[in-house]
Amino acid sequence: MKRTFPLIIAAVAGYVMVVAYFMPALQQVREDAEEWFNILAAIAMILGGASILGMHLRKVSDRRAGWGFSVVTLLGFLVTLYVGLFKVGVPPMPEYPDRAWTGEYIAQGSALWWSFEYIIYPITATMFALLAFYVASAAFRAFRAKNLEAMLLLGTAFVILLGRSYAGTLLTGWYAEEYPNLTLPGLTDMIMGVFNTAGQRAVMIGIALGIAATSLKILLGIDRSYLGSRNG
Amino acid sequence: MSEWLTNLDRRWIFLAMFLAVAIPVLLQPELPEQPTPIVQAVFDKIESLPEGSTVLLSLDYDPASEPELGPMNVAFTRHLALRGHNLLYITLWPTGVPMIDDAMRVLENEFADQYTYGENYLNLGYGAGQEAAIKLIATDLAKLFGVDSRGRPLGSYNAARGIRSLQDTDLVISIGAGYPGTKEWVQYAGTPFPEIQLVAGVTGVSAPPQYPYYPQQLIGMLPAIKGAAEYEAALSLVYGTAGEALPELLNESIQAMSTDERSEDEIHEELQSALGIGATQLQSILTGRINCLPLEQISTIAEALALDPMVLIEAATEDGCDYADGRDYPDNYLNYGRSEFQTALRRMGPQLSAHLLMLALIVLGNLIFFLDRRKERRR
Repeated sequence: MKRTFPLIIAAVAGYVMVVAYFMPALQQVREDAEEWFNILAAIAMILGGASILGMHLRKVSDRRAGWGFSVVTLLGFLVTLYVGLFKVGVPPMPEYPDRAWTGEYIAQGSALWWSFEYIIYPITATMFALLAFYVASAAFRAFRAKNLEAMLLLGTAFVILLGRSYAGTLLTGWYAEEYPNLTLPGLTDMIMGVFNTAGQRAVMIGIALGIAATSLKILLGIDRSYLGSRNG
Repeated sequence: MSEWLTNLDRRWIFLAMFLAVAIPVLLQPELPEQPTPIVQAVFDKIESLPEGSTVLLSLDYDPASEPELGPMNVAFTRHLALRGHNLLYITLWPTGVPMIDDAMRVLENEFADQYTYGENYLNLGYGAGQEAAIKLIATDLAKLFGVDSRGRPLGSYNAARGIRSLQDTDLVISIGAGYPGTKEWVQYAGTPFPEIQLVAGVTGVSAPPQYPYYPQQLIGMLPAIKGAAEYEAALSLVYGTAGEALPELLNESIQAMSTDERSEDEIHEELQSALGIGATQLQSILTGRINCLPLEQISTIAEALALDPMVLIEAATEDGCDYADGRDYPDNYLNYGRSEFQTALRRMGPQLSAHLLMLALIVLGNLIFFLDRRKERRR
């Protein structure tokens, strides 16, 4: 029952979406199913939060390697949850100045806004910015013209890196009027519009066929991996 | 030397990258950009919308991508507000909510006189459900965004009047950094509902997979920070009135009028009172930040400074303003040709030096590789 019931729900929901796509009369059923999906997505966020909480609590309790990081995660999670749910420091709306909780949960000056502005914002921006350093190091150590494919990749990288900056205009701008497609920005556009588009389309078609096959396996109950590893 | 380079401590590379970014950030070089067709298509689409159209902007990114996508958000907001469109903001990313606040600040600071919350723009906040959210609002907006971020029903606002679903909007702008993002907007909104017009702004890494959608499913696209810089350049070509003739004329006249009894500050105060504006706005006029003044203000200034209004109009025209055929300007028309409004263009300097450093490192790395290989062969 524990396994069959979710399988039936998934199959029925899947078939409804497929059939409704081809039958306009079932459009309302399809919209209802989509609405249900959104409700489930919101509930999944709560489940996800509970799962993170449980996992890190177990890690701290077992004193596993890196449990100190779990303490930081738990603290961050609980404090953010508290200040967000209870609208700590949220100023009331101007229309209702004597009603404390009327303001937006992330209104400027609130605790949640402060934690986003001064913790989340700098941390995520810094993490992303660090990529520039590692990419530069990789460019020096790993990007070698060892064979023809690597040489093609290197040549493309050169054109794109120059064409996507002012250097492209500066180096090849002098003949842009006569031969616009042969300038570095022109070549960049050609690489993106022709070679990249052709490659991306092939990848997309491949992915779409894969998704269709996997969806069919789920609808028919052949693929049960989404129910968890023990049900695979 | 070759051995030193082979065993080069990567901290030297980190230092070089740091300097390559930091120096242009401090020096702020101004590099010109020309809009490419894919960016110009977005600009032209917004220009072609009739005044009062409803545009939905989905800001699907977080602070990690803000330096790249934030300038697009700001440039789109400015352009749409300049054209007088109604704006609806949403995000499909939980961490995207403060990105909407960035757009709100632009409207509050630069368009306070023309734009009122609820009347011309709305913050609908975060919608959970990724692509399912897009599918849902494609047919019924209220099912996911029944209320705005202030908790009031959508129907109570004029900005959303007559908008039942995405199909009733005149344009959807997806600014996306990943999943859910532009790809999902194309697959679940633009393609199944051809009446939904879609344009996009994406990060450099997520731009290549979107190219196959242009120009059929995506009318145009701003790829990476360069796309944002090109858009700012397009905005400045039409709404930027680079030049200093009018501010120079005004400052000279004020200086000439000032005496021991009547200081320049006093003339400034008289002008403020005659125009009915504050000190900041007057300062913006005298520095050229607000360049094209409404004809009524030009007459008032001319009267206060004992000048011929035609002389002021000629100076403004020299700066690029256009008063022909009865054309007039709002009283806070900002000069979008000034670099303070061109965040993306300012970021092209660090991008250029970082790209050049990367190329130099690739060349150097390969040089060492081939030298080492030759040495090995000789042995």
